[in-house]
Amino acid sequence: MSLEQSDLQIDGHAIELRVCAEDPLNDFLPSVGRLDRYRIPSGAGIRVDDGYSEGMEVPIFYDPLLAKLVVHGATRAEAIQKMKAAIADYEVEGVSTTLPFGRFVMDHPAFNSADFDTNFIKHYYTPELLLENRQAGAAVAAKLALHLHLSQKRNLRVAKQVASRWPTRTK
Amino acid sequence: MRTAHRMGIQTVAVYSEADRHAPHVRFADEAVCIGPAPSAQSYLLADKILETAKKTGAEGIHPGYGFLSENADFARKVQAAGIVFIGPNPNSIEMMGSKLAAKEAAKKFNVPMVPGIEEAITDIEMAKAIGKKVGYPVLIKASAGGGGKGMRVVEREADLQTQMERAVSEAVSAFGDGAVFIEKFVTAPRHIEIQVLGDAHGKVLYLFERECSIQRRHQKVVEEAPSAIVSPAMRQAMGEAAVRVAKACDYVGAGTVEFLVDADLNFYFLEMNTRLQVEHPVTEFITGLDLVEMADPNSPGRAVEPGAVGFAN
Repeated sequence: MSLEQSDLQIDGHAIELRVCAEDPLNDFLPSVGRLDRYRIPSGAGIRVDDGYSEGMEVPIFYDPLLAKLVVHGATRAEAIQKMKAAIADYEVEGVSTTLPFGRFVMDHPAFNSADFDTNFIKHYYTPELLLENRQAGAAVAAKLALHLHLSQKRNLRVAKQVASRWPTRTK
Repeated sequence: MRTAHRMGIQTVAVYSEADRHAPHVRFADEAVCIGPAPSAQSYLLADKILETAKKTGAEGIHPGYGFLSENADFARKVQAAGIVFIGPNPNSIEMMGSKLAAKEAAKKFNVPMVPGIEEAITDIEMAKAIGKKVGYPVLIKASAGGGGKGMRVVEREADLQTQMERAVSEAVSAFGDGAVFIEKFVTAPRHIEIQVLGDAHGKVLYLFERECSIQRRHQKVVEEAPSAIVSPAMRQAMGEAAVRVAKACDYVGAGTVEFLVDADLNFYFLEMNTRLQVEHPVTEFITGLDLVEMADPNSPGRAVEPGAVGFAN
């Protein structure tokens, strides 16, 4: 080995989420089934080590690890943001996974302030909170959709007014 | 598999019937089915795997994670068959597999440990004496256990006798060995581990830490590197302690030295894992090194003879 200790430097920050076929709403018990939809995120500083593809069955034997989702950023805050985006782009249907739990961790103040220990789940996590997160997400999505709809409606109206002022040629 | 492919090494995958379509089968140049889904009838059959290796003309065996990767007997059988075991030498696996031997080695080399007894016991009076010395709560854990198995937390002395009796009988039935350790229970511990890398000439480097405290069912789920609470001085102290542990057992290849860190940032040696861990990619990202390649004795990055590394014992 030609490397020396002094050659080694830390470059930025990396976070890994174990994407397991488990149900975070049911005590992280294994979730089996067929991967009806399976799309992995990609991009600079995003790495997915996986062994599955769409249409495959997740067997009940062995470790339910579907993939390791790993991100790298210049800082911890950047890595957390990247992980959130990667989780959002990771599409899995057919089995439950630890992806929503990963999002819960990335959002949690204790994780963000690095003030946590091995009791993180015991102290902060309940399935209800995950559901609330999901519902809050759905509520935000609904509000966004409404906002978009209303602003489009407004634009349409404006467009109409502009159009009405357009000098029209009459025969 | 992907690393081997990139390095121009041909690979043979062995698989069970349940894994017919698994990626390791698809990425390999050749694949051999070694039995039905339950691992006792497939992945744990050392002789069957060896036979397959001989039949296909394999020169090396990479044990992967789990199953036979930390089995010293398997590593010895592979060597005896004239095949390179891509991993640490069997003596290192055995030494660190036994927590007792690991603690002995760590203690000798001045690596901090959680206050407790230095030998595994079954005697209740000795247990009580230790409890008085280190203070409650205490943790009872089986010498031969791992991954949270055979562990019990005792909150006060009044509960010690019954808990101790249960722990010993559990350890006997689970591991065939009733000896237990008793130590102070760290109530709000962080789990932080150091990646080490050793070569056959006794050089050992530390590739910094991984913070693995976010766990469910005693299993890691989110890991990161570096840890946000580890200062440069603490990093160096932990790294150097990990190197001492690895050197104590002549460690070759990639390994992990696990520590508990308490609320006051004291760190204590927990155990050493003699294999590449699931969370190794975070270390690859922050160091820019390919650990699978570095852990392979045939890697061009190592100043050793192919096939001769790590088997001096």
